[in-house]
Amino acid sequence: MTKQVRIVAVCLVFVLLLALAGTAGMAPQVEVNSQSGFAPGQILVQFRPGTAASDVALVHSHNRGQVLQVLERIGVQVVRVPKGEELRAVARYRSNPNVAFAEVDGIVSALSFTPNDPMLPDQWGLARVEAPLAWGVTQGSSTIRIAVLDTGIDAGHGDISPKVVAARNFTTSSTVSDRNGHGTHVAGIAAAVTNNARGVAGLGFNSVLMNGKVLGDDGSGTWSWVANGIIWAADNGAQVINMSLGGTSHSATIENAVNYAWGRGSVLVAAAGNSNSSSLTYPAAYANVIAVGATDRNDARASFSNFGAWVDVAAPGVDILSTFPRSGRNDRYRWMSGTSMSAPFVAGLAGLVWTTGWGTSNTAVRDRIQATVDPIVTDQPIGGRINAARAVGAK
Amino acid sequence: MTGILDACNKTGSARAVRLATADLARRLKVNKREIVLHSVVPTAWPDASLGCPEPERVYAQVLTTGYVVLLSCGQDVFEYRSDGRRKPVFAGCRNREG
Repeated sequence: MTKQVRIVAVCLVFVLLLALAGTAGMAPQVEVNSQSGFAPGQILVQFRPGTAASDVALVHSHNRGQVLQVLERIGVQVVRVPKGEELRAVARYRSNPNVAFAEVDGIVSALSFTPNDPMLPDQWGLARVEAPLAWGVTQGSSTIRIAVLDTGIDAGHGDISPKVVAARNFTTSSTVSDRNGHGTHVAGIAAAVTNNARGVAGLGFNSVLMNGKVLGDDGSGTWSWVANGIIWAADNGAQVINMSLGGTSHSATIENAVNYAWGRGSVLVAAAGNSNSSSLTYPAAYANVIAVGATDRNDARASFSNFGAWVDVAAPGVDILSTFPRSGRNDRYRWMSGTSMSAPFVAGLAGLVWTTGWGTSNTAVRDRIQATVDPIVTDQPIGGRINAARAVGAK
Repeated sequence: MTGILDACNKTGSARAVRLATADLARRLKVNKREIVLHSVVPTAWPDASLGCPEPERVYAQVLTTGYVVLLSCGQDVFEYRSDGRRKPVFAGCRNREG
C-alpha cells in the first residue's frame, strides 16, 4: 500500500468515524413514559429533505415498515412495524442517516390539575364531574363573566374577593350584599377563587362574577326584579347567567328577558326546582334556558329534584360545600342542597367551555355541555349528568 | 309553655317563637301574654317559600330547614313558618276544633 493510499484510507476511516459520531450525537435516546404508553405496531418517521423515494422505500424494506399515513404538511410518516418491535424499530430508523427523526406514536392524555384549596376533598361534586381533568385543559379566563342573579354576593369573602366585577341591586333590600347566604353559596360553586390555598374551589376557576341581586333577603323575588337582572347581565357582558331560582307560574316578562339575553349571546342556566315532581319551574322551562336537575353522590336523582323531558341536564346538588357570608371578618362555608346548587355547576362549566374551541357562540357552548354529559340511570328522567372533562375535550 | 321554650332555646327555635308571638300580638292587637305556644315542629321545605309560595314570585331553590310554630289565642290556633333566622311567615289561622 502506497503512502498516498494509506493517507486516503485513514481519511476515509476518520470521516466515517465522524459521521457515526455525528449520527450518534443527533439521535436522542428513545424516551417512552411507560405510564403514558404508545400506539402498538406503529411509529412516526420523518426523512431528511431531498431523500430519494427509492432510498425511503429501501429503509422501510430493511426495517419491515409499511407506510400507513403521511402527514403531508409536516412530512411525517406513520409507519406500521411489528407489534412489540416499536422501540427497536425506532432505534433502527434513527441509525439511518436519511432519517431526520423517528419516535413512537405516543398516546396523549390530558394532565389533570388539582388546585390547593384545602376543602377540595369535601367537594364531591367537582370530582364527580371530573373537574381536575377539565382544569388540565382550561382554567377559564377572567374575561368570562358569570352573572349570579340571586340574593346578592358577599364580595368581601376571602374566597370570593376580588371576583365580583359588577354589582346591582334590583330588590327593595338596603344592600347589594348577601344577607341570606344563598347567593354567596351559589357564587362559590360557580367561581370561588381557586388554587388560593383557601377554602373551596369553584368549577369556573378563573371566571369572574357579576352580582345581580334579584332575590330579597328572604330568598324571594318579583318577576320584574328577575327580568331587570337578566337584562342588566346581558347588557354588561355576561357570557353566562345563573338563576338558582324559580316559580311555578309562567311570566311573559321573564321569558322576554330570557330571549333578549339569549339574543345578546348569553348562556342562561336555571334550577329545575325541588318539588320532586314533573311540574314545570320557570324560568328553567323556557326554551333558551338550560334546565338543571340534581344528582347525589351515586349519580341517582336527588329525592327532591324535579324531573321530566324538559330537564336538560343534571349536576350534583346534594350536600354541596361552598362559600357562605362572613361572620364579622371570618369566612364561612356551608353545605346546602337543592337544584339551586346544581345550576352553578353548569354555569361554571359554561364559563370553562367559552374558553375552548367550542366557545364560539352561546348555542355552541350549550350544545357542547349537553352533548358531553355522562348517561345516568335514574328513576325519573333528568337528563345526563354533566362531565366537565368531556365538555372541554380532556377525554 | 316554659318547658317548650326551654326546648326551643336548646334547638335554636326560640327566636322564631319570639318573633312569631310578637307578630301575632300585633295582628290581634292583644298582649303577648295572651298568646300560648302550642307547638314547635322542625321542618324542611323544598325552597325559600317555606311552603307558602305566592304564584307571582320566584324563590331560591334550596332545601330550607326551619320550624312550624303553632300559637293559640283563645279558641284559635295560628301557624307561623320560620327558617330560624328571618321574620316568620304567617301561614294562616286554624280553628282549634277544626
